[in-house]
Amino acid sequence: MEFKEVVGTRRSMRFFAPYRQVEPEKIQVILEAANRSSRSMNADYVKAVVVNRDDLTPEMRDSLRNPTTSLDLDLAPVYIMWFINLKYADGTKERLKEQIDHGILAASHGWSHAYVDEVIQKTVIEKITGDDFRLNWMGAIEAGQAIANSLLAAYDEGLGACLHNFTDTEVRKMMNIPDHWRRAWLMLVGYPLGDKADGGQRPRRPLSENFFTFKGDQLEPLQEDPAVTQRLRETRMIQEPSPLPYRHKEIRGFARMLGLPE
Amino acid sequence: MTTAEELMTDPTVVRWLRSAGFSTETPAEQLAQVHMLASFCNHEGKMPQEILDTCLLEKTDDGQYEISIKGRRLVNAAIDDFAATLGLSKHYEIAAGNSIRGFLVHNGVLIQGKPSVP
Repeated sequence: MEFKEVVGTRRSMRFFAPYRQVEPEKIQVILEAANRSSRSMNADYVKAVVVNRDDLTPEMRDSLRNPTTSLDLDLAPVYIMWFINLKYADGTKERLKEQIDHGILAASHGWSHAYVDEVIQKTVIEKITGDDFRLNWMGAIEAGQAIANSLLAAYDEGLGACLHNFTDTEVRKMMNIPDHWRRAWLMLVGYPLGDKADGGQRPRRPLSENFFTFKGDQLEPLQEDPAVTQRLRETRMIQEPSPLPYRHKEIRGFARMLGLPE
Repeated sequence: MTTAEELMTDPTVVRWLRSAGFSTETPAEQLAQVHMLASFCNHEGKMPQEILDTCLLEKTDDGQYEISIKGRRLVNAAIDDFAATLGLSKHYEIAAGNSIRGFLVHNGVLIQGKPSVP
């Protein structure tokens, strides 16, 4: 699938085919996409644990449930538990010097071994690690980029996925999850129960509501170029909007097949 | 004791049937939906509004409810217990319980049951 279509096809899917397993190679692709994400300091902001639903005991599965993440745990065959690694700053100096040696960070932009060895600890690293808000804020943003990459990879592999909150109290103990891994999202992965359209592309506000240019001395809402918008329709970044005409009947069909509330 | 016929005019039932799109189905089909709820009400010795009241805390001045976590958990378990008494196959037992959950859902209680997985 081309990039624009992947972006346009991604959506939060909640109806998975519960009987269809996900091939391990597709999970590897999803994780490699996370591994290739943008990240400051070339640090590792995320940790993930992949769990096959059917490898969990009923008690372990139940321990993950909360009011909005329950049915989904029974439908999705694969769970990826994403955590923010709050020790992401460990090893920063070594990684930065590696980047200097590789020509990624260059003297042209002010980078040197001397700066990393003698200055960055007090100037940058301790400013982040010594402030809980900064530590968590940066961790969340950078972990989010990795998770976003993995979502796109899932759709590129023909899968569906959705991010959920989850209860991690029990699994932390059972899996010996370190204290510095902070719960982020539970990504549920599987094949769509219906088609990949999953009811149509989700509603979004026009660009002009959230994106601006700076003209003169003020912000101006971004004006869309209709030709560009048309190109994005043709390349499927913009797709048929929800609800597709058959969506409500489709949901009723899912509900009757699975015995769910209608 | 109550019957499905009596519940057809209960405001919470009317709201459920309308919101779920059942109100366009035949009277017999609508009644079939309500039958399971009536049986559950009798099993619990409560009317539909009382079951909702178990799940929702008292309405605040701004007209909003708050979910009772404990109450919802109790009702969820009571639904499973009730469905297990019906002597149905697993699929229909799950569907029966989730039919009652549908009544709660369309009256504002976010609740999820388990699916019947083929």
